[in-house]
Parts: sequence; structure tokens; C-alpha cells
Amino acid sequence: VIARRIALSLIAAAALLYFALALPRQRAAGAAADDHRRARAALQEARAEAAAVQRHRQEGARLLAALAQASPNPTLPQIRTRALQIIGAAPVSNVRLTVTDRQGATPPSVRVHAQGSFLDLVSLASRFDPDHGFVLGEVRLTATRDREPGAATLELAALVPGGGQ
Amino acid sequence: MRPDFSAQPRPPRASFADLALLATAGFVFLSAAWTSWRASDRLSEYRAAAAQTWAAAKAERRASVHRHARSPRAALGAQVATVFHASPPVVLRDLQDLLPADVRLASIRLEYGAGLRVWLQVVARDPAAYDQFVDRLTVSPHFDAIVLGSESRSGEMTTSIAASYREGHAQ
Repeated sequence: VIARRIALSLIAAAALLYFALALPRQRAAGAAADDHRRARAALQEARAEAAAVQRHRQEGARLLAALAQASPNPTLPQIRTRALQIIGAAPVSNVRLTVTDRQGATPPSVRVHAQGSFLDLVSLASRFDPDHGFVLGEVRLTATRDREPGAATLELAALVPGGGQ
Repeated sequence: MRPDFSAQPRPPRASFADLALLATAGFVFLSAAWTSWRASDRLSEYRAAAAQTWAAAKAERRASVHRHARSPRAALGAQVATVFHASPPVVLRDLQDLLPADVRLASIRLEYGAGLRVWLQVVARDPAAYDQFVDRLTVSPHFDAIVLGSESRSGEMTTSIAASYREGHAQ
């Protein structure tokens, strides 16, 4: 009889131990494992992002060096002439060009305002590229449907690394 | 007169079945104890590992932000790389692919920096067409960090959208 009582007590204690301690902790461990998986995914994402930033940075430095080599220190008149050549080759109208010299650490810049067909303006904007010594800062295209279908206005700002003065 | 104990019947000895029951109960108890200990052990293990990994992810992000905050020349270099990968024709082609027939762009602003931010003024013939454009934009691999402007949803709609262009998918 005593042995049976002890056995029943042990089984009751085992049930209590399992339901009160083991089961909640197993569930908590499952949740912690999920959290660990999420943390690993976040870490992988952060590493991938850091690697992408690093690649972008290295590529930028390489492109900037190539750009400086292709057109070393253009003067303000040279920048203006280059911009006028690009604009002159595009079928656009009402052109306004502003060339600003280096200001402190800010390299020289050009601002272009032009009107024309949407496609011609996109083509014009794309020619202010590193191959021509420019780095686009901002491009704004606004449709002017009151003029004719497909007509638009372009406002563009680009920098000239290493140029000016 | 003292009772004669030797004449009393001896208490029955535990039977084999009782011993087996006791052994089984002992085994069940030990199993429960072991399961509890193992669960506690795993819980602390996973919690520690998760905390360590979150801390590493946070440190990596901090380092990434630190790499972003760099000299004007490095910023210009990053801008050149952005222009190289996301020239206006490339970005506009990707946008054009997403436009439903009843949606047109009234204006587009491309702002180049370490990345490219795109600002759109959208005119949709009706809300359904605008919804279709938004659906396509949000699932597009070329754009993320999308901010949708206020919308009236009555007749022809004019609204604004801002998004970041993902260079990794430029080509």
C-alpha cells in the first residue's frame, strides 16, 4: 500500500513538474528559437546592406577617379562650353543655362531649364553624365499638356567634380 | 499481559506489481524532471543566442550608418555610382512599365545622392486605375520606401508618390 502511495505521489509530482515547469519552458524555448531565427535574418540583412554600401562606396570612388582623369579640373568657361554643346545637340527650346563656380567644398554646378518633347528632354538629361564630366543632382520633368501632347519642361541640376576657378 | 507479537500475522511484503509501479512512477518523475531541466537549459541557450545575434545585427547597422556618414568627396563618389546605375532613362523606363493605361505622370523629380529618391505627381482617370498603379509599384523590385500622398478618390485623381529606386535591380 505504501509503495502504491509513493508511486501515485511520484506520478502526481511528475505531472505537476511537467505541466507547471517543462511545458511552459518548452513553449518559451520555441518562442526564443523563433526570435533567434529572426535575429539571424536581421544580421544577414544588415551584413548584406553593409556589403552593398561598401561596394557602392568603392565603385563611387573608382568612378570619381575615372571622371577626374577624363576631364581634369575644367575651368568655368570649359564647363559652360561643354554644357552648351550638349544642349545644342538636343532638339529643345526655351533653354536657360546657369553655371555656378565652386563654392567652398561644393564643386561647380550647372542648372538647365529647357522645353521640348518628353523623350528629347530625358535624352538631354541623360547626357549630363559622368562621361561628359557631370554628376546629376536633380532632374525634374513636368508635363505641359496645354502646349502639345508629350511636351514637357526639364529642370536639371548637375555638379562638376574637380572643376572651377 | 503483553501481547505476543510473534503470533500476529506479518505485514504483507510489496508484490512485484507494486515494485514495478513504483519503478515506473520513478521513471516518469525522472523523465519529467529531465524534460524540465532540458527545457530550461534550451530556453537560456536560445535567449542568450538571440540577444547576442540582435546585438551583432544592431552593431552592424550602426557601422553601416557610420559608413554612410563620410566626407563630401565620398558622398560625391556615391552620387556618381547612383547616377551610373540609375540614369534618368533607366528609371523612367522602369516607371513606364508600371503605368496602367489610365494613369499618367504629371511630373517626375529624381533626386540623386547616396541613393535615388523619386517624387511623382500622378494623374489617374479613376481611383481603380490609381489602385492598380499602386499595386504594381509596391510589388515592383525596383522601388521601395514608398510614401503615398493624400487621395480624394472621386473622379479623376491627382496625387503624389515618393519612392526610393533600388539600384541593385537597375539592370
